[in-house]
Formats: sequence, C-alpha cells, structure tokens
Amino acid sequence: MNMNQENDNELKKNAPYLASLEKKNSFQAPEGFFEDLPSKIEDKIQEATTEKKHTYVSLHYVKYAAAAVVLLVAGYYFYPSKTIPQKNTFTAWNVDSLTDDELLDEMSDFPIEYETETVVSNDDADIINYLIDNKVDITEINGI
Amino acid sequence: MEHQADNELLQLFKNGNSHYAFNLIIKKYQQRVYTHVRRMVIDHDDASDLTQNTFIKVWHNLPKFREDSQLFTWIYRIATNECLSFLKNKRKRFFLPIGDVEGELSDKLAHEPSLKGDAIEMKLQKALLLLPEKQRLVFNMRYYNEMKYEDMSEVLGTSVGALKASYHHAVQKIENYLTSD
Repeated sequence: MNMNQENDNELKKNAPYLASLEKKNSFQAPEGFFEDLPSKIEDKIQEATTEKKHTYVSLHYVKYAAAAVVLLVAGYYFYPSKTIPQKNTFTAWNVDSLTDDELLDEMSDFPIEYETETVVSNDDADIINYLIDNKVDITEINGI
Repeated sequence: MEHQADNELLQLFKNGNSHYAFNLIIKKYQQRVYTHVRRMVIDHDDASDLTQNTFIKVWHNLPKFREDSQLFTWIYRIATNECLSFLKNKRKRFFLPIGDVEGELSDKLAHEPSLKGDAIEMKLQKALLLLPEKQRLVFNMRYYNEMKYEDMSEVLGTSVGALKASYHHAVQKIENYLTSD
C-alpha cells in the first residue's frame, strides 16, 4: 500500500465527508509569476550584496569622519587657551600702555617665582653680612 | 519539466557552479514552497515575499548544508519558519489576539477570486483557519502535499506519533465544521 492510499484510507475512516471532496489548489499564483521569480530572487541577493559593500564603505568613511569630529571638538576646547592673550601676559606693548597703578595692579596678579636661596633677611646685620660675603662695596650702595 | 536530483544539484553547487545550481533549485521547488506558504498566509503578495525570503536564506545557508536531512525537507523547514515568524510578527505589530489574525486571513479568503462561487471550498478554507497554526501546517502537509509523517517530522521537529495525533484532531475538527449547518 503506497503513501497516498494509506492517507486516503485514513481519511475515509476518520472523515468520510472530507474524503469525498475533490482536492483543489485554490491559491493559484498570477500568470507568469514563476517565470519571473528566480530572477527576482537573484536580484535581491545581488542587491543585498551591493548594499553590504556600500554599508562597509560608508562605515569606513564614518570612522574618519568621527576622528575629525573628535579633533575639532578637542581643538575648540584647547586652542583658545594657547592663542588668546591672557590678562596676566606681560608683554611690552601692554606695559607701555599701563599707568604705574595699573602696572602694580597687574603685577600683584602675576605670580613671580623667587629663588628662596637668594632671599635676604630684613635684618640689617644680615644684609651687611650678605654684602660683605659677596664683596659688595657698601659705600657704593650708600651713594645711590 | 524534468528536474535534476537533489544530490546532483548539491554537487553542482559545491563544484563552483553555485549560481546555476541555485537557479535550478529555485525552479525545482518554487511552486511547492509558494503553495505551502500561500496556504498559511493566504495573501499572494505576502506569499511572494516569504517565498523569496525562503530562497534567499537557502542561498546563504546552502554552503553550510550538511546533508543529514533531505534538501526538500530542509527548504520546507525554512519556509515553515518564515510563515510562523510572519504570523507571529503580525500579531505583535498590531497587538492582535489569535482570533483577529485569523479574522484578517478570513477576510482575505473572501476576496480570493478563485474561491468565488465555490461555497464548499470556501467553507473548507474557513474551517482550516479555525485550526491552531501548527495543526493547520500539519493538515496542509499531509492532506494537500501528501507528505510522509517521517518527512513532516524532519520539517517540524515533532515526533511522528505527535504528528499523527495532530492530523487526526485536525481532520475531526474540519469534518465536524463541514458537516454542521
């Protein structure tokens, strides 16, 4: 007994009305559908492959674009601090244009580093000893 | 049209004539896949898309096909999964309960030109839409495609015993629907 007979017998036994009906393919594809289908599928596969390549190429450029954006943003934040003259910059042109009071004001804002070893005590005796040790003529200083 | 045997087509595919072999595979199985899908989703455009998707997946996965199942059951399995995913997504997208998707498919049946004027066939198709999806698949594969339970088992990943029981239930339900007023 082949598979179809087996199926028919099974059906006749369990569902006699259904078994009596003619089997129909009620869902026909439109005319010419199966002639065009293989090429449609091939086209879709080709399209997907091309799209994949384009996506790869675009992503390749996106990488560089992202790097450029990072550099621009970094430049925006860091570049001005190096190029815009600061209030405390001590240049000849602004010194000349400042009054004495303004100059003192500027200097008070401007940090000056001292070499602590050369700092002398305010004590007069210490000053004199320092001058003697360094062989400085005191009379010369007094004459100033 | 005479089609080449599956093992010849697979050999051809492996020997470097992949596009040519694939084209022959489409030609051999396109009608069966389309009809199988169409019975599940009713609408021609949906069936066309799903058939195309099925063969695109066949193309991408054919190099990995290990031949531990038959080519045609493997293709049927891909097509079946496509149908089930499609119907599942349809439900998710529209937040539709099962009845509403089947209602929508039933509306599509009503507009099917080939069913117009054939009341008995229309009633049979409506009865099929009342079955749970997997039972409908089992019924279609056995009743229309006349597949062996062993092949159906490969496609659906269900035991032969469970498939026989499922088909039996489906047949009973349809018989009851057709013979009731």
